[in-house]
Amino acid sequence: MGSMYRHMRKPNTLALIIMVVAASVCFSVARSDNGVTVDDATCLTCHDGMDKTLANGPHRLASEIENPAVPVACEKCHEGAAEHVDNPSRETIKTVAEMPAHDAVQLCSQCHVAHVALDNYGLDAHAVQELNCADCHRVHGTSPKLLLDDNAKFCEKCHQDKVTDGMGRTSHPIRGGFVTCLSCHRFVKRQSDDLAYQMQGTCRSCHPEQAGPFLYEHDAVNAYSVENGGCTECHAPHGSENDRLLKQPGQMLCRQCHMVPAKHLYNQAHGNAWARYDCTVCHTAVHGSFDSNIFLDPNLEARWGGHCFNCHSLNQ
Amino acid sequence: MRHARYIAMAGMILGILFAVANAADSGGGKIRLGYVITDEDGNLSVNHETYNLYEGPSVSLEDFRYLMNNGMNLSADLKNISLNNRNLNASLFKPGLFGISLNNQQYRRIYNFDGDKFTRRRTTGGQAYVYPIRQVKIYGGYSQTDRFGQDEYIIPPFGEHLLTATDYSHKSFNVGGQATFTKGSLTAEYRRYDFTDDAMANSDREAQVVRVNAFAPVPFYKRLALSGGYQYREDKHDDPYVFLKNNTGWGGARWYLPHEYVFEGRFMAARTDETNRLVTVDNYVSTVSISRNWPKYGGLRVGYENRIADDIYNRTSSDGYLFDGWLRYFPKLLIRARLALRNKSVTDGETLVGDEDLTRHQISARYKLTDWGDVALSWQGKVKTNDEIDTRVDYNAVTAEVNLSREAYGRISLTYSYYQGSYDNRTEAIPNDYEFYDHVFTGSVYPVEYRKVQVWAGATYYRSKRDRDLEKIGGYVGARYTLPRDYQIEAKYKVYNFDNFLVTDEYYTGNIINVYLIKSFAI
Repeated sequence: MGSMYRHMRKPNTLALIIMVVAASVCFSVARSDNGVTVDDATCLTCHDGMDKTLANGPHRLASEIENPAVPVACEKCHEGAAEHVDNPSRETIKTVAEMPAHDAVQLCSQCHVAHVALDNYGLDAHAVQELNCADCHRVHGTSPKLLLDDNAKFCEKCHQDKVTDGMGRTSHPIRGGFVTCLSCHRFVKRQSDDLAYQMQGTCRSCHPEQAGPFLYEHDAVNAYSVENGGCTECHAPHGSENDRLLKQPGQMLCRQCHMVPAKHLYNQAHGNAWARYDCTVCHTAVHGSFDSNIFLDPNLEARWGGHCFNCHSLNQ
Repeated sequence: MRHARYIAMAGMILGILFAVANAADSGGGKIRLGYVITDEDGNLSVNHETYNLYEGPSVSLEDFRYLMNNGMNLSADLKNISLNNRNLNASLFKPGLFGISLNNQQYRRIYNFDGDKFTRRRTTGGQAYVYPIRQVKIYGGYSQTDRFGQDEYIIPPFGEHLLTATDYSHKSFNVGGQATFTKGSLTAEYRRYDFTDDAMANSDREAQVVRVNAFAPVPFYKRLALSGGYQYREDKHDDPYVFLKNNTGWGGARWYLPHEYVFEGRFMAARTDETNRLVTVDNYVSTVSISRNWPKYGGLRVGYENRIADDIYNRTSSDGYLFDGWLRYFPKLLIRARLALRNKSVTDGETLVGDEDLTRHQISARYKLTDWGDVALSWQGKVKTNDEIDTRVDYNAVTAEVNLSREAYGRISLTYSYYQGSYDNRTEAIPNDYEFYDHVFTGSVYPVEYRKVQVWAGATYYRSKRDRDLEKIGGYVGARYTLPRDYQIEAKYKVYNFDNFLVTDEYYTGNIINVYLIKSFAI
């Protein structure tokens, strides 16, 4: 009996997908009226060819599509069309690029959930810089997300120093488009779900092997809104002279926050091993550990031979 | 065999694209056929620009777009289909109705002199969304990242080689829905992660996340927008067995006050529990800021952040202050400045690091030349002091750039960056203070096309003195000639030279030549 009910309750995935798609098509057919006062043909009488600049992108005019899903029309973005028909001067028509940033956001957010609205948690550097949507997006464009450049090269306009950082000895694979600015820098600054785990979500998506949460976290990977921190406390993400994009190699990096313990300094058991090796030779789990609150490698003895844990303990 | 499978997969994508294209309206793209020649000498692990290059024939389909009468749009950008550094992206969408996108890419990182010790990262994924009604979006996706190979780590200062195998797979799956209404939205999402490691024992783990987030203006008072959300996450690690549960809640407000003042505030509270070991970690973050804008002329903002981290051993508290602003009093000159301060103190218990003070400052000026481009100067610095061990790290970066562009001639860009820093141990118990600096010059020229010939060139000079003493020089030159019937011939030459003057086997010279035949087509 129980198994029969379980069978009956099991959702039919295929049926669900068909229903969703069918509903989508029905709704798309139902909403063809775009309610504009000046139709596109009137605009194109003077602005011949402007429809072609929209044809390859998501803002393709609804008047050119069978069953359009969204009522895109010239007048939807260019307010003042009715007056412009009577008085065809530049002053009577609005374009996104020439609007004050706030007005542009209001206009675009009629269809798109604006980034500044999503970023309701504040401290977004771009939101207060009076950046217009059109500073990064070309409404009459064809690139993905209508960005001015597929690889977000428009960022260089203001952040050239980050580009030159990438000329260093090591860098993320920006060449070839494997990583772009937008791979890491999301304009929508969502509440980070990783704050509780003290590992930045941006880095986690490509470096899961280093990502927490761990039972024992390294406090250095805490991220802060006002003064950074997090992974970038030790790594220079845009470029570095060191392997693994480290700001400094070896001990020098650790010693910016930690003093070398006295027992490492004066204990001759290893022939002053602290002076020879990086801290991370023994403290391998610097991103966090499930075994040791001082991030020691639990397999230290196996790796190096000897009896490390006769004198040392994994936790202190 | 593995290569054949992926070439077949790319071929299949191409086949589907063309098959669909035959039945539809209009479109076009570019086919790029070519050959890559690599001539390298020296240590293959020191020059990151050439890690992921492969010699051989190259086939790409670029900027492919196909439009159907019903508004559906098919696009593809399939780079280097025939080589191991492929980067394939394809999508099918109808604006406002549905979208599907697929991607596959592969990147190699070399770790030793001969180049036979390397790891390869392969990412494959797909995303889809559908709008059953205009206000509701249902979305989901899958992504898999595999990294495998051998990773060689050289332990300074004596250069012992530590060789480790890497072979892990990270899969993530998500499904969610978003409802939007007047200036607000409600989003709910489920996400699952699986990490399996075949090279390192006891590293497998999995996680599940349920998340709800919403924001909306207050009814009848749209000057105030509120947001909030909740997330539950659980993580399971196999060995040692660890089961972490996390509950996080957050909220925020943005209040548009009269006279262009904006007040913002947010909070977040999170608790992570591990029941077997009785470990509980609490994190609390709260920020407030108030800003004043003078549209077109400038803005000022002052912010404060407080964070408390509390586990069963220690409790730390940090206070952060932010001051930033921009000024465009003269229309062509934009000045930006930012100062961020943070001090962290241990309020209970004793941590290895102790109290810290950090300061970050940044200032930049950009002057726009009428019709010709712009000139920019920026400076950023960071000071980190640790009172417990009495150290100070001081870091400064200065960047100057000139970008000139004229439609009749083309564009030219020059940049110079100087980085300088020092580490100062003021206890003098360990006399190990040091200084470091980097210089980076870059330049590029892109003149306008002349008699169907487009040429371009650029160069980089990098000099770094930190723990190493590096010099790196790179240059490139390219030319493209447009033939009749939408054919083009393109040739590119790049040269790299790298030297570490402190380590004898860290040198590299590379000559890379790319030759392509490009055919633009329309359907």
